[in-house]
This record gives sequence, structure tokens and C-alpha cells, in this order.
Amino acid sequence: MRRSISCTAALALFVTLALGAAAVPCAASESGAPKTGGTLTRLSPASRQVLATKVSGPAPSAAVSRRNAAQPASGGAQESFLRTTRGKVTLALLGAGVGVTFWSIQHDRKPVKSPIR
Amino acid sequence: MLHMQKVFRTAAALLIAACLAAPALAQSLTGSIAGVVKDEQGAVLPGVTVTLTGKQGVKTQVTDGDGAYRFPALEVGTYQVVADLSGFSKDTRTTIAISPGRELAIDLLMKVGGVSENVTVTGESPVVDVKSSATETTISQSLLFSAPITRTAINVINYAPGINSSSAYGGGAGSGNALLIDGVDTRDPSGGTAWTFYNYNVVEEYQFQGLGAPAEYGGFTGAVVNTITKSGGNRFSGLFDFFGSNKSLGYNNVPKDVKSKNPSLADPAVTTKYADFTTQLGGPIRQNKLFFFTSAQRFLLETDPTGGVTRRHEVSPRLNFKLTWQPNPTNNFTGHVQYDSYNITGRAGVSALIANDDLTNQEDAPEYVWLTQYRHLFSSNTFAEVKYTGWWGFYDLNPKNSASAHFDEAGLVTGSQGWFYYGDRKRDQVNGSITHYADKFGRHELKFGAEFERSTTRDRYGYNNGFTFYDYGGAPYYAYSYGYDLSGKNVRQSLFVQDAWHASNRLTLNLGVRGDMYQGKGKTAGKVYDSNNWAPRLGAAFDLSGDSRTVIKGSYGLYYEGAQTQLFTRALPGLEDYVTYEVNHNGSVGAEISRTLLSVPYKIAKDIKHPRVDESTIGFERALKGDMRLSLTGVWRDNKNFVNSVNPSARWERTTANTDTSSTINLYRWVNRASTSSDFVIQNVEGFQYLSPTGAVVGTADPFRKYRAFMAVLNKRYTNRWQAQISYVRAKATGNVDNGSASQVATRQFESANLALVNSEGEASFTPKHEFKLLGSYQIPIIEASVNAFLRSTSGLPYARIQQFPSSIVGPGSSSSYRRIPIQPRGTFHLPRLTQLDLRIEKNFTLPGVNRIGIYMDIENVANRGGITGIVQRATAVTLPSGTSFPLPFGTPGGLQSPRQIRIGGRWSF
Repeated sequence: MRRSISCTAALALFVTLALGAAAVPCAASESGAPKTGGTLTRLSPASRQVLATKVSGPAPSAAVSRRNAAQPASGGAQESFLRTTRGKVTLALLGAGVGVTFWSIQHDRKPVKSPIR
Repeated sequence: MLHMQKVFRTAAALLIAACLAAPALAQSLTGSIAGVVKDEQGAVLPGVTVTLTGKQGVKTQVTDGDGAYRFPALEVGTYQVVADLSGFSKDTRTTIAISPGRELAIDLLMKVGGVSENVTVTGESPVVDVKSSATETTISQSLLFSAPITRTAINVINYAPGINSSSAYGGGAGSGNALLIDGVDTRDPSGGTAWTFYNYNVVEEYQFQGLGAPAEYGGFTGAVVNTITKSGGNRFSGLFDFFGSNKSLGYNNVPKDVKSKNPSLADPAVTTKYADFTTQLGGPIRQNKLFFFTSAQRFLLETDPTGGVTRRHEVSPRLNFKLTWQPNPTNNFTGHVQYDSYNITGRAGVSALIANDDLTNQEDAPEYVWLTQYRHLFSSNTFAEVKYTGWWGFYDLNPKNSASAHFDEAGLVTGSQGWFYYGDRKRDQVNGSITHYADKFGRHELKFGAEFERSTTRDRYGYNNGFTFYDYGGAPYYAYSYGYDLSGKNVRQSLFVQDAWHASNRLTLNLGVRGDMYQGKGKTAGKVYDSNNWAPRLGAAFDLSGDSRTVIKGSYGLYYEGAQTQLFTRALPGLEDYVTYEVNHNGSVGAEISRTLLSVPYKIAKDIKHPRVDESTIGFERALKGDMRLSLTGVWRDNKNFVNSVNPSARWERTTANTDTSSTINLYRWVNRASTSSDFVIQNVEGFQYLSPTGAVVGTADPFRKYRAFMAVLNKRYTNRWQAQISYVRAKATGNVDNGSASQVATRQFESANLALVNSEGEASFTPKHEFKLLGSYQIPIIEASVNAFLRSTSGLPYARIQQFPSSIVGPGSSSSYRRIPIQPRGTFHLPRLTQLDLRIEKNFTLPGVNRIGIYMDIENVANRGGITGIVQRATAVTLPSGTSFPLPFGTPGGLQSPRQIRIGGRWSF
């Protein structure tokens, strides 16, 4: 049995090292992908022509640009949601539900409350 | 042990070094979208702005020089992707569903044209996942959420092929599955069963991992259910749901012959009152930055169970509150708190066959669950997650009546259930992981992670007033005392590394390894359990046809059980001796007659190995016409490293006895019990030898359980008004360690040569040979109502006759658990086939805005079948309402399917 443990451990160690070894060069090649392309050399001629004629300014940088847009996903009406009829009904129902649940937490435990607690 | 620790530490150091060397990190509660943007000629388009819109805001990227983009670490949900470049028409993909742990490839095509020529396409993931070697057991979310309702989130596990009674692929029923909430295991740290339960309505998505699970999943020998909870978003969304039933909507399904054989089953289980409401609201506190989600539930269920108990009453209130804060695009914080409480009266405290209202207890079980998570994006290819999750709760069962229990010679109980139990639990766990996508020698999805668990358990048990009585001739004859107060602590450190290596467009290799270091401690006894384990996970998937429609896959892996204090608590102080006393004429407890030494802690073997299952799978998946997928899978699983207790000093003498079937049986008599009754060792029991008084070997323990299965699963996505998952599983689970809830560790099976060696081998009790399941839905034209069905039919489960032999045969003073010995192998008999159809009929009305009103009706056990779910394996008796005893011979039905019950619900959502 000692032998089988060692075999398993050796296998595990091998996989670990192999993955670790793979990770290092992979990570080393990483420069904050997607990689900066810059030039448009891989564009098809048709696309290059379109860009040349229709893009008024310089082509967007191919560098990574990630940001959260400021606009909400479904328009600005959401801000006044709680003042709408639906919002008021929602709040009333939610308040009732939470209230009953709190009441239940207090009330429904009484019959079963453990004497040691 | 030192050798293992050295190996573990060395590997851990190397692993950490590898992690540090790779500036990339991540984890999988989230999914990702990646793809390439091309023009009509097939050339890649750099500089395209790709916009992703989800419920928590908008993200944009610009494609790189290869036309590639990637949005990593996306919350589960539905998204829209738009590619935009001046001079080209926009390409819009809508309703893209993100699943956890998956990268969705969405390649975009841009045509020369104006803004008015937008191309909108509904995005879908491929029918067949050709990039994963794990067996595809995911059930579509739309199927799950339209299915006849289940009580709690984790019950959905039984919808999956190969899982019945929460026994997954031959694993322990209820105890072998990892039950994750938002990615962190929240099971009972004592025995691995479910402890924290979530409202069905707070679930955003379920993720199943069963066969071929990667290295990030550990601590299970069955399946994994990852429950991902809802979050708030930029749009206010609400749900108000009510679900109810009463006695008039219930039916009687008890067959006549069952009534005559077992009068205690004559009255069906009746739901007298059922009322379950949920109110929810989620939305923005600050647009794109801060979101909330809150939910309140009150669950009420009152039943008149089968048998002598007339009223079981349960109320469970539950509150959830979740905050999500994303101060900037690269950081995300989540905090979630749940409080719930189980308040139950009328729980049967003895066998349901003999229970009545006096023999019940009251459950008091509140708990808090908390989850916090921080996620950071280093780049579009690298992100990290850190989670801290914990819960605290207790589970007290107090007897309804505080009098002592009296057992008579017929096994009947009067007075009270006779005992109390207090369970305290606390579990803290920190998970950290790093995910990195890399392009070198193919594409890689690398993950590194570490987990730290500290969990404590305390179990207290005792008899009412300190004693239980045995009555003979109508008066107390013996008195017994027993109890325990056991505290244990799990200390676990785990590491994993895995890679989904897309070596080519058609070949994916899933490589990984997981290390788990378990330690068990007592309050005062220090470390008593120590086991370090490595689990390789290897898999491969090959796109056979090269068109992402056909894949063959295979996997091999070791899966170690979770940290469980029940593995070692008997080695800790806290047990009391089991003492028998005589009873005086005036009914008071008299002098001690005998004492079973239980207060002496067991020893634990130094080189103990943690229980595990070795698993191999081979699968074939093929996309068929009409958005269908056929999956064929072969499964081989072998449980190993059974941990149990043995007595090295015990000596056994062969003997014979007469059985109830008029045959003789070879048994073993424990001849030196008096002098060896406290010499127990917890160890891996493989090869343990049972010795005769002369030292000769009378038998050797050879514990095993094997599971072999063939699974055929046909999935049909929702098109043409219907969707379905149809599965057939042919399984064979055999062994001499059964797959009951705590089969591996807590049964003390191997303390007795009789239980270890006599008729112990047979079919596993919770694995049917044949299993057919259909989960489907159909949208009826014109009335536009949906019919959703869950049909399951399983062949009868195995059983055999058990006989209780007297101490004079198996050893003086032997407890009843040692004396109840199977006189036939399990599987000598089988229960009848069990079939049940549950239906949900639902009609939704869409109102102005995004409001939806839904009404629905669930019909459980539509055919009102009265199938037998339990059987009397050892002759016993029940007490009838008249107070007379009614004998129940072997083979008498002991349990039935729940009768037909209709529940009606309604909801408003937006």
C-alpha cells in the first residue's frame, strides 16, 4: 500500500510540475491579452477599402479597452421605480412578506424552543 | 506519514511557485464569452468595438490584431453582444446564456454596410460541448425551473440520470455529494449530509458536476450540485409567489392488501395544510455600481403522516439579503446573508411503524449562512476570486414528553421517545483561485486554487431522566443508561491546479491534480486523524467530426470524501458507558448488572487513508436534428479506503444457528468479549483478520463497492414548443459495504465478524438496476399554457431477510446491532418497480411593461400509485390505535409512495 501511495503521489507531482511548467511559459507570453494588434495587415482588401473610405478618423487602437459604460441596461426610468404604482405595490408586498417572516421567526419558534438554548 | 507530509509540502511549494510564476489567476462561479470578429471574406477584423450588456451594466472591448475579444468572469445570466465598426453593419447576438465554468465561443461576422443593416441573431451555446471531458449531466435551466416543484434547491439532484434517493452513481445516499452554495461547500461537517437549505426561488442557476469533474471540485464521492443565487441588477426585478394546498386536494393511495398486511399504513400521509410564500426584490442602489437583492419566505407544512402520528407541523421562515458592489470594471464585491429556522413538532422519535404522538420530538434548528466574495480582473485573460463562506447553526430534538421510555418484550415503546439530541455546527471556509487563459502550444484555461476549512461539531445525546426501561410482564425489569457529548474539529487544506488544454481545434485535454490534507481534532485530545491525499484528474475530448457536433471523451480521476468528524469522534473522549441496572420492586433503579465500556476512546491508525472512489468514464455525444443531443456514457467506479472500526483483540469461534427460514447459518461467536470490549481501532479495514482463540484466521475483511453503469441520455432543447431530457441508466452496484447514508464510516460493521463476513456481499440498497427518467415540457398552442412533466420509473431496490440472534449464540452481552445479521445476501429479494409521474401545468400572462402573472398547478403522483418504498426486513410488530400489538412478519410493506397531492400557486414577477 505504501507503494501505491507513492505512485499516486509521484503521478500527482508529475502532473503538477507539468502544468506548472506549462503555466510559466504561457504566462510569460501573456502581455495583457487580447494582444495589441496595431496594424490592420490581416484585413481583407474589401474591408481595408471600406475603412479607408468611411472611417473619418484614425482606426481605433487595437489595445485593450475595457470599461463599464455609465448607462443602465434598461434606460433611466428605473430611478423613479419606487415612486411608480408598481414600485409602491412592490414595496407594500415586500414589506408585508418581510414582516410576516420576521413575525414567524419570533412566533413560530416558541413551541419548539430548546430548553438548553 | 512523514514521507507523505514531505511530498505534500514539496508539491505544495512547487504549486505555489508555479502559481506565482504565472501572473494569471481565476475561478468558476462565472463564465466567459470569447470569439473572433471577421468580415465576409473571412479575414479577421481588429479594432472592432464589442459591447456586452448584462443586468449589471455594460462592458466594452476592442478586438486585437487577431480580431479576438474575451469577456472573462461574467456572472451567470443572459447577455447581449454587439460588434460595431464604422462602415460595417452591426452584428448583434441576443439572449446569450452564460453558465458557470464555461467559455462560450461567439464569433461575430461583420458585413459592409450602414447602421440600418443591423444583423441580430439569438445566441446559443453549442448542442454538444466538444471541449470538456466531463460527462454532460447538466439539465437545462428552463427545464429545471418549469419542473414540478421540489422542496429545496438541492433536491434537484435527483432529476439527474444515475442519481436516486440522493445516491449518485452508487455513492452514499445523501452523504456523498458536495452541495455548494455559490461555489463553496456548505454540508454538515459531521457526516456530509445537507445542512443549509435554500429557497428554490433564490436560485439563479444549478450546476451539476458528477462524472469526470475537474480538480477544482473535491470532497465528494458522488456528485456536485453548485447552487448559484440571484443578484440584483440595473433593472428592478421582483417576484411574489404563493404556493398552497390542503387536505381536500389530497388522495388516498393505500392498496387494500397493504392495509390488511400492515394496519399502520392504512391511513395515507395527508397534507392538511401547505402554504409557501416568497417575496423578492432586487435592483440598483446606484446604477452600474451597487445592487441589492432581498428575499423573504415562510414555509408552512402540516401533515397527518402514515402511522400513529397524527400531526406533524413545520414552519420555516427564511430571509436572504445580498449586496453586489462593483466600484470599477476590475473589482467586484459580493456579500450574502441568510437566516432560516426549522421549527417542527410531531417528528417521529422511534420507527415510524410504531410511533404515535407521544413518541415524537420537537425540532429547533435556526442557522445563519454568510458568503462574501471578492473578484479582481487583472486583464481580459486573468482574474482571481477569493471567497469566505461560513454558517452557524444548531439542531435540537427535544422529546415531546419528558418521561422515560419503556420498551416491552414485543419491541413496543410507551411513555416517550425516551431521548434527546443536541447538535451544534459551525463551518468556515476560505476559497481562493486564479484563472488564466493563455495561448501557447494551443489554448489553455488554467486554474490554480486553494481551500481552507475549519469546521466544528458537537453532538450531545442522552436518555430522558437518565434512563430507559425494559418492561417484562407489564412492569419495569431492567434500566439502561447511556449518552455522549462529543466535539470534533475538521482542519482541511486543499490545493488544486487544472488546465483545459485545447491542444488543437479538435482535441481538448483536461489535466489536473488536487491535494487534500485532512486533520481531525478534539476539544482536548489534539490531533487524532491525519490523512494527506492526492487526486489526479485526467480527461480528453476529441471532436470526432470536426464540426463540433460529435465528440468522444474519457476521464479518469480519484475523488476523496469530504472532511467529516464522524470519521474520528469515537476516538475522542465524551462517550458514556452503556450500563444495565436491575429495577427495584418500587420501580426505582437498582444495582448495576453489566457495563459495556464505551467511554474508552477508540484508537486511530497512524497511516489511515481517506475514503475515496476511483472513477473512469468513456462517453460519446452526438448532436442530432432538431437541437437534440444523444449522450452515451460508460461508468466504472470503485470505492476504496473504507474506514471503519475493528477489534484486534477479539477472538471468534465458528458456530451455527437456526434461521427463520428453517435452515442453518454459519456465524461467529465473540468468545472473549468481556475482556476485549474496549479495544477498538479506527483504520482502513482492508485485510483485517478475524482470529480464532488459537490465533487461526477465521475470516479476512475485504470491503468493496463497485458501480458499473451505462447511461443513455437524449436532450432536446426548446424548439417547436417542447423540450425534454430522457434518460435510461442500466447500473450494477455491488459490494459488502452498502451505500446507505453513513455506510463507510459510522456503521461499526467491521467490529463484528458476523456483519463483516456473513451475507454482507450483495446489491447496493439505493441503486436500481434500471432507471428511466423523463423531464420535459410542452407549450400548448392556442391556450399557451405549458405542461411540464417528470416521470421516473426504477426497478425495485434490493433487500434481504435480517434476523436478530440471541447473545448466547453470537457472544455474551452483544448489543442488538451486533446481533441483527442478514441471513441472505442483499438482493435475494427486490421491491416492486416504482413509477411516478409528477406534473406542472402553468399559464403565464404578459402584462404591460415587463410584468408577468403566472398561475400554476402541481400534481404529485398523478396516477396516485401506491408503490412500496420500504419493507420489513426483520419481523417486528406495531401498536394499533386500540393498543393491541399487530405482528409484522418479514416482507410486510413498511412504506408507500406519497399519495396524489395537488398544489396550486400563483406569482407576479417583473
